[in-house]
Amino acid sequence: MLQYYQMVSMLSVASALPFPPTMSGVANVGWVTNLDVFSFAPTGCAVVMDIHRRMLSYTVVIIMAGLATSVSKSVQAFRGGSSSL
Amino acid sequence: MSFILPSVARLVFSTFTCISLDTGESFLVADKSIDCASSYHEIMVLYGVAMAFLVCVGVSGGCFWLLWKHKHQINPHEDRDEALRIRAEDESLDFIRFIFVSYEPECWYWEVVEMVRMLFVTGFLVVIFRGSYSQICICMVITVVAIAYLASRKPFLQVRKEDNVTVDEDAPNNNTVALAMMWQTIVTLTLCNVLKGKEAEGWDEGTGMMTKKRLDVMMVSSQFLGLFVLGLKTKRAGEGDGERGAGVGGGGEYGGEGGAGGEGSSREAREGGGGAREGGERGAKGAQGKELTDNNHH
Repeated sequence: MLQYYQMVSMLSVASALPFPPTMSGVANVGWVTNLDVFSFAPTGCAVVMDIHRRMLSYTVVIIMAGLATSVSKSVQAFRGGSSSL
Repeated sequence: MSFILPSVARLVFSTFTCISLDTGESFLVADKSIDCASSYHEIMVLYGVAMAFLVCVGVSGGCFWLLWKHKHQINPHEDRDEALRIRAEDESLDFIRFIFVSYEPECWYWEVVEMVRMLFVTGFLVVIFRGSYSQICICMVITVVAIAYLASRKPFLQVRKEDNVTVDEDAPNNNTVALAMMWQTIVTLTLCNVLKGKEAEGWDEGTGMMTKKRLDVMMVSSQFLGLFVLGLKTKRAGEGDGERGAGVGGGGEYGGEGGAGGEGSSREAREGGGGAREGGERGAKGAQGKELTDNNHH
C-alpha cells in the first residue's frame, strides 16, 4: 500500500504532468513515503542540498549498509570456522 | 527493500534529464539551480551512471543471487507448511530473512520482481519516455502483467483455515491488498492519460463534461478505491469469523495461527494468541505464525 502511494507521489514529477490542486495535495502527502529526509529536515541553513548531493548521500548510505552487512557476515563465518577448529 | 530502492532510483535517474532553453542554456529538470553544462553536473552524471548499475541493477541482482543461492533452504519441502516450519527454524537464513519472509516458499523471488517493477515504473521510464503517453501506457502494461502474475501465483503468505489444508480466501491478506492497489494504479494511470490529453487540447471549462475540477475529484476519489475494496473484504471476513470459533490458534512457542491471523485481522491474532496461551499444537501452523509475525514487525 505504501509502495502505491510512493508511486503516485512520484507520478507527477516522473511523467511531467501537473496534477490538479487537490490531487497535487494528496500526492504531496504521499511524498512522506519516499523517505526523503532532506525534504523535511531544515538543512538549508547549514548546507546546500541540491539533487546531486541528495543522490550522493542516499547512495553512500546504501553502499555503506551493504558493506557493513558483508563484513558482519564474513566475521560471523570466520568465527564459525575458527570455533569448529 | 523494494520500498527504499525506488526513492534512490528516482534521484539517480533524475540526474540524466536536462531541459534546454532557447538561449542555449540547459538546466536539470529536477533541480533548476543546476546547470547541465557545468563540470560539477558532468561528474555527477558519471557517478549517477555508476550508481544506476551498482544500486539499481546491483542491489536487485544481488538480492536475486542471494535468494537463488539459498532457494532450496527457503523452499525446502514440497509440502508448504512443512517448508515454512523448516525455513523458520533455519538460522543460516537470518541475514536474508527480511527479503523472503513475506512470501510463500515457492515464491521466494517475489521481492526481486517487486523491486524490478518499481524500478521500471519510477526510474527507467523517467529517462526513456518522460512526459509522453508511452510512459503511462508502458506503466499500465507493466501493472496489468503484474496483476495477472499476482492473481495466478498469490505470492504473499496466506492464512490457512483451521483444517490447515485449505487457504482462507475470505481472510484479507497481502495478496488482496496488493491486487487492490494494482487495480487502483490502473485507474490512476487511466485518469493521468485523460489529464494529459486535456492538458494538450485545453480545458473547456463550463461546457465540457470533463472539467478540471471533476477530474480532480475523480483522481482523489480513486486514491481510496483500494482501501474501500479492502474494507469490504475485511467486513466479509469478519462476518465469516463468527463461524470459526475462538480456538483457531494453537502454535505454542511460535504464536501459531495467531501470528498468521495477525496478517489478516487483529481479531484473529488475539484469538490465536489465546489459543497459543492454552498450549495448543505446534508445528507447521507455528512456523507460519512465526514468519508472519516477523513479517508484520518487519
